[in-house]
Amino acid sequence: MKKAIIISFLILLLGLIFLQIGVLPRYTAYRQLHSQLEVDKQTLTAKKEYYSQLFTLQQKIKTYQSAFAKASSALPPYADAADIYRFVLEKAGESGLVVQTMGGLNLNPGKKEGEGIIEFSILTEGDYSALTSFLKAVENSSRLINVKMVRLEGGEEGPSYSLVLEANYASAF
Amino acid sequence: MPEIIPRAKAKTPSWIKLLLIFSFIIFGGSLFSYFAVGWAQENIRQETDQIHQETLALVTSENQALEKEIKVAQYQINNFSGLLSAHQNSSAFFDLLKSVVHPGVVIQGFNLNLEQERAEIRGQAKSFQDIGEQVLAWQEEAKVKEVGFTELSLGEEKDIYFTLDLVLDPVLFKTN
Repeated sequence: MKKAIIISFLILLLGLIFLQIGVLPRYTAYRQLHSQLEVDKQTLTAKKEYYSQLFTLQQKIKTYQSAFAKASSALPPYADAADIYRFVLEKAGESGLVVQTMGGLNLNPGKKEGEGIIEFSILTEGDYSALTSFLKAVENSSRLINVKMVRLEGGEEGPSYSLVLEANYASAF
Repeated sequence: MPEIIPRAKAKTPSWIKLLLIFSFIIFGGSLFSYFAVGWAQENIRQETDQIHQETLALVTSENQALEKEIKVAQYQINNFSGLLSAHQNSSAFFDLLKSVVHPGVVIQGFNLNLEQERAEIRGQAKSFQDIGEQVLAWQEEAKVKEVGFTELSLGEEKDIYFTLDLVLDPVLFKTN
């Protein structure tokens, strides 16, 4: 009888020790993995939802494409200095101005975060009416080019104009 | 002396049997739990790996491009109105100059600074009266805040050379 009691207690003790050192740590690790899985599932769902919303927004932007094009044109996501140079030269030619030099390109940070400013200068010659016509064309363009400075110098061969122009772009992307 | 009548075996009490069964259940249950939890762990690991792969699969170049496109669009939309309201139009100054310039004054040059909202005008006149009238004309303009001389000199053939400094109202450059 005594033997049976001892065996029973030994088995019970063995079972409890195994539960403590074998099963419980495994169970704790399992709970942690389970919690992590729940977090990962939520992350996946959130990401799917995020990209789905982005896609919906993309479709909405396409719907309002004409209105959005103005904002897009005024604030491109890169420093489009070459495009601006080409545009300015084209408008100068159309207005009757002769461009002598064009340069002094500077890329400066804007007042707001993520905003950049393209600044450049241009030296031209031509009639006064050509200058005003050129300025109107440049300032009223959808690219929103700002004239920072205009200097007129009267000369024997006609007036010359020194201009400093600038345009904004989104530098954060 | 041999036992003629064997003694009856002592019966194991039922509580000891129950204790033994209970011990076996605890031991067996521990063993079972150990393997069952291990199996569940493996399943969760596989599921986690699958979720990680699905999450990584979402970050495609197309989705990244879409994300960038929307961020750019959001930035452009948020900042466009501010950019538009800050946009200056120099043309209005030239219209003003055309309407204010005195017939007896010849404009030799000017320097228009839109950032500082100032203009420096260099001119030539035959008489002080013309210059006075020119200054008065500028002073009467609502969009000119201040008018001042920075230079006044006599040239050959009694021509008078002057430089005027104008402080302009920012409203002048606002886009309509």
